[in-house]
Amino acid sequence: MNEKDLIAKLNNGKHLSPDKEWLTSNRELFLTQIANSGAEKLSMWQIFSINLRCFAKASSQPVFASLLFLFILIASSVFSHKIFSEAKPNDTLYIARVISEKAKLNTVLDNTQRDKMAAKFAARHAEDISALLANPEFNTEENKEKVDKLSDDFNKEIETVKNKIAKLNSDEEKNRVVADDDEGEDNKEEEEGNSEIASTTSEEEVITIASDKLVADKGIELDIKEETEEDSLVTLEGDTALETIITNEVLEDDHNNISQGSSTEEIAGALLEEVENGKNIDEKLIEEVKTLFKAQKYSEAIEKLYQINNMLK
Amino acid sequence: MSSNLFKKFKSKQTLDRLKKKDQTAFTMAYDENIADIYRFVYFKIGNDEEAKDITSDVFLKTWNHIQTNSLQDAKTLRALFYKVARNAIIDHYREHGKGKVLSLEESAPHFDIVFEGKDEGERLDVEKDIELIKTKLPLLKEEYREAIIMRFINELELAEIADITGKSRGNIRVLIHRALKALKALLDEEKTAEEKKV
Repeated sequence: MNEKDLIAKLNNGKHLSPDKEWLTSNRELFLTQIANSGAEKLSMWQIFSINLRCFAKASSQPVFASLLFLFILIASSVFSHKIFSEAKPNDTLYIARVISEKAKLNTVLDNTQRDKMAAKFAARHAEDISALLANPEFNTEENKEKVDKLSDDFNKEIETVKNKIAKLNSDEEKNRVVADDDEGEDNKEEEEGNSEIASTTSEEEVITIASDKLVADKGIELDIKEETEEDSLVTLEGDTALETIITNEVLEDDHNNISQGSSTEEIAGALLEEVENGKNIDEKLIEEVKTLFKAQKYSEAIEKLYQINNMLK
Repeated sequence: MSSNLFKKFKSKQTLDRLKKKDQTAFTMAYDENIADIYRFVYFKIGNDEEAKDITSDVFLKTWNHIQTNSLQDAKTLRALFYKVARNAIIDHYREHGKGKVLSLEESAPHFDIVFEGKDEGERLDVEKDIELIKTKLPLLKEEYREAIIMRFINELELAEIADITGKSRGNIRVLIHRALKALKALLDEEKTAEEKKV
């Protein structure tokens, strides 16, 4: 018999137990004996305080302390953002919210996603500040210092949103150019003949994007057909390449001068004009927010910020 | 590592509750350890009735010890139970003489073989092995017997055995190795003797 077999035989000894009748009777006897010596059932509070004391002793142990620290770190990175996300600018937990947002940003590896998230956070901060300043109970002479500080913070947040959106747009533009370049290399023989298509296609994509962004703002639903380079030559003048279905009436006139019942051509033309003039709808919206905030039209500023947030989604 | 830490924490918590005379905590400790202590005592002294008496004493003595002492004696509650059991067995030997025959019992023992397997063949193997332990273990030296019971039957860790016996882990490792070797030699000797008879 080898050692392994011998150990296996010895292990079988654990199957031996005292008989059940003795176990039961002895248990009863034992409980009676200890009850006579003053045994009692502790209250929940007493048990809790004992557990707390043991925990405090155990947490002073280096290994236990490191495990606890690690657990708190992981739990806080996962849950803190949810817990602190409702903290308002004048709350004590607001700083915790900012820290947890920064922590969350650091966990995002993709640059585009990170910029988008940062812009969303900044827009929400600006929204919260506007909401707070719109509250007449807070916005008083007594709180002038806090109000001024919050106004400065608002401007900073808006700048952050502006910078991040500009960065997102430029990244998108770069990617588009790179994609176009790649496609151009594959179709070198047809390049000359298709150059007009390529340029109009990229313009169309710009309009497509601009049109998409108009959806949230104006309530116009645009059903845009995807265009490819193989499609026929397209120009913007008098175009029918974009199929638009206007399902909602435009409720208000704005700086894009798109009025009720405008045709597809006029919308696309106005958008293209703005893009060609170097004006970005997002940046215009941000400028509007700034203006409204300066004019203390907080509710309207909040509305615009809400739109920006929706666009960022 | 974390499960060891948790066990230590739990044991510390139970000890603290016992210090406060918490009946519930001691009942839980009793249920968790009664079978192990009984097995330890039974395989050491070889008699079922006496093992039950000593086991009952062990728990009562441990309860009294916890109420009156600072609990520096053992790192865990389980180790404390084993220490008290060892001392109780020594007291038993003093009273009844160590030279008493420790092997087969005169009357039918009242213990159960708790076997969860459904295979009858396996159950018979388990019974056979228990019988082997009962007959061969008493032939070993006291410390060898103790080491084998704690390590292979009750499956205690080396650190726990070291705490109970007051020896180092290295010593325990060597002791276990020698105990196994001695038991194996006994079994081989018996096997050879049987073959010769045949």
